[in-house]
Amino acid sequence: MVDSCFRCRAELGAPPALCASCGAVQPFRADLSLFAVAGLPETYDLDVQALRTQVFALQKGLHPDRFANAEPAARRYSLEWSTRLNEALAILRDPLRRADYLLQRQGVDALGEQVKVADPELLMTQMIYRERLEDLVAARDLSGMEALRQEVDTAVTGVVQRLKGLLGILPCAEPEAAGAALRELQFLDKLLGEIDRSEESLQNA
Amino acid sequence: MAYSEKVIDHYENPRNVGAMDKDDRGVGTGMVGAPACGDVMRLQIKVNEQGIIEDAKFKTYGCGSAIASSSLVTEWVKGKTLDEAMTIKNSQIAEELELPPVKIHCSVLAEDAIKAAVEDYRKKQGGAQVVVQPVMASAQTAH
Repeated sequence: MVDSCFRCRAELGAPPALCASCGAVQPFRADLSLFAVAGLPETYDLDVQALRTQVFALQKGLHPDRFANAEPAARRYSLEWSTRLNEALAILRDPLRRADYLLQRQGVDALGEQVKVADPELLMTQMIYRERLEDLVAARDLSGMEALRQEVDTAVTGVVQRLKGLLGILPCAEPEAAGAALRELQFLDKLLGEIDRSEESLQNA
Repeated sequence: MAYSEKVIDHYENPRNVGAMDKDDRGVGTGMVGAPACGDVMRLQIKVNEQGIIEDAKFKTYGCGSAIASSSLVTEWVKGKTLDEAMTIKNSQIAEELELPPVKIHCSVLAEDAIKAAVEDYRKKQGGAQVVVQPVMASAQTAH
């Protein structure tokens, strides 16, 4: 479906936010996905730099300051588009939130509060990471922590790679596997947060 | 959010922290995790010939409520039979620790952990017990 400008009827590009022909900011479309708002194809395998460039360019055209003297409706539209673009950048740039967003759109809530994990291998790995961190903190071993961080970073890269395979083409054919990968990523992300906090507290001690 | 005094007590003086040999035939190990908080919980029981839980140990990486819930469960199960241990409900844990609604899932985790430990022990005995998968991650959980 091709959208047309509400004012001059010219064909609109993607996203259908600003008319290239008459410059009118279009009514906000709450039905559009975060990808559509950013004018990008929906896939996990996303070039974050391209996302950033694209969103900044759109932000420039839609910035509320540009519509400060426009009619109230246009002011509101520009604010709505800008807010949604900020959200798109924040969620889509993050490998964890991007995967969660895509799975949520398929009705899969992999990270809900009620979701529990019983995968012994995953839990054992996490337990060992946590124990190592605890020992490193006790030994005040900052370089050991840095080595641990690099190891966890490598693990993160591996999971993100797996997610790219699982969520590259949508809808995802294996939502269970994607959900499991996302949960693993969430554990690793929390662990990285713990490493950060531990390093900070050692440095400040 | 303020923790209850009981949670703080268990958090500051956790009971029975430690590990047992998970390959010991008399030891049952239950491991569960909650990705939402990144919590990982390991609960172990040592069962004697009479089927009584002689000792229990736990190790939990998580918030104060998760630590307190598992600490409390290790206290409760000592001296209990396996069947008695299986009747522990998260609601009892939550009530004892006065957990607020947002922390109820921490007590659920502790209930799952003790159940998983009992199942693991029974499985090791190669028993006639039906092995029930104690907890399973459901990716389709409703909001």
